[in-house]
Amino acid sequence: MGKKIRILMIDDEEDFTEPMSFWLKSQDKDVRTVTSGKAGLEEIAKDPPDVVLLDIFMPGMNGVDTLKEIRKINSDIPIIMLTSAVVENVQEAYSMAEITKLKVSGFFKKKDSFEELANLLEITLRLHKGLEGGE
Amino acid sequence: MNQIVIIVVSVTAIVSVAIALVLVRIAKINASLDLRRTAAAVGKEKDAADLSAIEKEISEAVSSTKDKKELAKKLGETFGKEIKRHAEAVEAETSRKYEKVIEERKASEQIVARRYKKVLQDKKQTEAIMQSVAEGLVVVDKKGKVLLMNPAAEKILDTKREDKINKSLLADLKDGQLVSLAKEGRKKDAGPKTIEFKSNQDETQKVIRSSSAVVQNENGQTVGMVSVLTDITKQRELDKMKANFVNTVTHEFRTPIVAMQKSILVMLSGATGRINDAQEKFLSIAKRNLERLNLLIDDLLNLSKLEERKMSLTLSNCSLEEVINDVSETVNTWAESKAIFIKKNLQPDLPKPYADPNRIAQVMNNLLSNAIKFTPQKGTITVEAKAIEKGKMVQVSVADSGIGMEKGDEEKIFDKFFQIGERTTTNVTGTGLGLPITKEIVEMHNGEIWVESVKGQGSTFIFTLPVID
Repeated sequence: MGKKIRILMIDDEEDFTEPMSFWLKSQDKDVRTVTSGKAGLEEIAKDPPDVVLLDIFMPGMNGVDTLKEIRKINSDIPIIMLTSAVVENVQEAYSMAEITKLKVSGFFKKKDSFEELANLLEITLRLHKGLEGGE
Repeated sequence: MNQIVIIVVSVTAIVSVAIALVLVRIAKINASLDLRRTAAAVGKEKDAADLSAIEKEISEAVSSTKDKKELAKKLGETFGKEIKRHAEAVEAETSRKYEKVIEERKASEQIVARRYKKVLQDKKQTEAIMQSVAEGLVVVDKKGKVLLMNPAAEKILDTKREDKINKSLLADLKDGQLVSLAKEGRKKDAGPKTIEFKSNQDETQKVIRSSSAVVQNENGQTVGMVSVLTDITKQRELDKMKANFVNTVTHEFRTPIVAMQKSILVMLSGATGRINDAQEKFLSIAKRNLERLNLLIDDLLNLSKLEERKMSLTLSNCSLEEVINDVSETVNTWAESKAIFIKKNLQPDLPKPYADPNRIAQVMNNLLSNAIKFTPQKGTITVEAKAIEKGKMVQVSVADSGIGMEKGDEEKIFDKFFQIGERTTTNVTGTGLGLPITKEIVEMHNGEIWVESVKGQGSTFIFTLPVID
């Protein structure tokens, strides 16, 4: 099967998305990157990817709001939240409850390794085939 | 004509005599009646028999009607005088008593008036105090109806005293205005409670701390409650801002570190092309130090929260055996890689200190990690736990057979960023904040921590935790 996995990364930090995207491409994935929630919504509406990597902490429309909007137009595309793992971050902690309700496939801590990212992607896509994503 | 005159004169004479006799008879009756009346009036309860006895005696003593009359009159006068005198005495007595009562009454009234005045004064004084106190004061009766409220309370609750007196404190709050109210505990919990509600004026939310105490009368019955209200809205905002600041700062630090780390990792992975040994070496150095930076930020965040007492403890009866066993397992692989044996000597039936198990795990992790770090190959680490002070405290010690420390460093070791001697360079050695954080945690639990060490032989870190029932 030659079809490449198509990933959409929504994150305003270009210095982060560049190495991420480069590495994912080196793993034979197709990667699109946008820097705002709004742009992400447009992409998903126009041409949905196989999986979305969504940053929580963004200016403008933040990750949680973007998630809500995505779920309005697409209720089962797998979404992995990207977090800087500041657990004590009140804003993020607050969002955890809302996020869990909105069907998220998993969380990737930005400081974790590429291998862990690959793992998470594999599990997510495998689970998603024929199942609803998230708990 | 003469015959008529004789008849008239005779008749007149007879009639006169008859009238005189009747008069005498009347007088006699009157006299005896007087006697009776007099006798009765004097108050002596004499029988009719006695009266007639008196009459009889008088009658015997006195022969003529005129004398009888005279006697009766005299008796009457005497009795009359007696009665009058007696009556006057009684009147005087009564009058005196009456006056005395009046005076006593006046005196009582004066006392009452004085006391009332004092009460008014006291009340005014209390009111003055209540008016000027900056905190809000509210006094409610047993049913929760407002009895007293000072201006500060009016301001805090955005209401007027007149609107609240005799009503329940929370009456009239519009729907949705009261955001949260910690329920008044049935246990008369005197701890401060927090109330949040939306103020009437602006749509801002206010946060109020309420500290209450029951009011008891002299019989020990609860008659009401007095609450001190403090507006802590600004304080809360400030706390939020501070928390936000710390979080924002850590986020700001983490973001560039992540970017650098990912860039380096992507090169190290070979995705950017083959790298030579030198490139690998230096990229690895960069990677390692970025990890150190990450840990440093975590520790700094930890420490700053601890120091500001922002880190709250989730306390429970903590099973030290569980914590120690769990942590030992986590570090076991590492210890085994250095052929270090971790020996455990835990007292059976160890009392359970009231502690936060996650934080104690953090402490054990730090102490065990340090022990492993500073113990060479094939060393031994001994973990001991026992009750001391007759079960009022537990003591845990982690002893290693490592490099020990200089005499005099036993205190400094708990300072921030103090690190001993040579550090092995190939692994992440730590941030120098582990022990200060450990110390904070132990002391937050009201425990103590110290170290006993001999250079070249090893160190023993000991900490205590109180056992609270």
